[in-house]
Amino acid sequence: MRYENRLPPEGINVTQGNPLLTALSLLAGLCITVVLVVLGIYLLGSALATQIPFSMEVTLAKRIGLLGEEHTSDTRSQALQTLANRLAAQVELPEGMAFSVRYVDDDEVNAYATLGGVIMLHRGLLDQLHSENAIALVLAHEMAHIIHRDPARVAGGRLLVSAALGLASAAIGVDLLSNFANMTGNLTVLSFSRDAERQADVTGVEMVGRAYGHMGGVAEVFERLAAYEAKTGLSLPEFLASHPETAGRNETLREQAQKMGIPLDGALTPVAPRLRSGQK
Amino acid sequence: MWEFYSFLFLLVVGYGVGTYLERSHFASIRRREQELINKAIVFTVRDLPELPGNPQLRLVAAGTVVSIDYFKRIVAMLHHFFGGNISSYESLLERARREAILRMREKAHAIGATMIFGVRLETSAINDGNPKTTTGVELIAYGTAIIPDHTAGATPQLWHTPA
Repeated sequence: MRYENRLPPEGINVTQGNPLLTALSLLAGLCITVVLVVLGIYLLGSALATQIPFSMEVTLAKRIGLLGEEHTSDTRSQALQTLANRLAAQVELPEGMAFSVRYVDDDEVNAYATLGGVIMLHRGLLDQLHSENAIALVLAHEMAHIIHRDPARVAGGRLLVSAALGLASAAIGVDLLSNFANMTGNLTVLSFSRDAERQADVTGVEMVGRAYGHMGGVAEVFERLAAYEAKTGLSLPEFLASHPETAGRNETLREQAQKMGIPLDGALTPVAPRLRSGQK
Repeated sequence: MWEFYSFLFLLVVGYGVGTYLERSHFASIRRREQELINKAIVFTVRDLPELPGNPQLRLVAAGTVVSIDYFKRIVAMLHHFFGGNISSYESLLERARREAILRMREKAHAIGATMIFGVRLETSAINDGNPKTTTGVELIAYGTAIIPDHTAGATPQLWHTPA
């Protein structure tokens, strides 16, 4: 019998391949999976939220202080509410739906719709609108969001996503992955709401067209927003970042006018004096 | 964001330093294996050969503890989702095994042993008290070293290994 040792063979126990490439392909796979799963959960949450009755949304808005007498009893809010009611009469509303307009006295160029049919309109934006038609478009656009149940959709989707991410990160025990998932999650929410904005433009333009019989003043709003966007450069207010581009919006406007058979221009209704700042 | 940068920093450092250390470790292992090629040869068989004179048998054992760098850990974590060979751990454990066997042979050679029989390897993970994370791996190699009786005139063909 003879005993011998030889040098151990190389490359048998270790899988060959670039570890960086392996890491990158795994990471890409994980990113795609996370984005798809988050998007799926978000869409599920949005779909479920539309099943919640509007009255429950109103109760919730009251409880968290979004909705209340104290917010809507001032003159400007009342005047805007009258305009909103006139616009609401132009379309068939879902059962039990109502709008409450809140005037917000600050410089921010912003308007948004939130839970419970609440529409916030800031002085900063109101001062830049030179006709009642333009104000009506802003209101109609936000009302359209509420008619489409967009605030409930976004809230429901985000709630379910954050609940799922919380559970997942607790299960995995890795905070980093959930942070990463949060970042990608926000991106998908942003692109989703672009579509909702387009839909809100269509319905909003239609409401204004029916109320005034022409589309005058509508283009002004889109142009003012574009000008504001250009002036402020990169520091866009949040609500602008998720809105469609002005060119696309004008396209929507033309299509809608043609479909309804009404002119693009017409006599503008002046802004009621009580809506102007400086007036008490 | 700060968390993300520190993560990226650890990842780059883990990959750069880890790769360099792994390369130099493999180089050292190959060099020492070459040096020890005729000395303290190892076998897993438990039955000892017929030996002339009065040879001594001794237990020899050696261990290594290797740490997992940040890059390897992240890659392994990603494998956690998709499965597949954790090749970053394969090379780590390959180093640990060969290093443990080498240290055992070096010890045996130092006490004058020429062969080690019944060699076994044992592995355990070190996890700093948290069973979910593995911070390092310990590898122990042990066996029965034979110190031949030189006065009895050992049969040279038994001890000879080809160079």
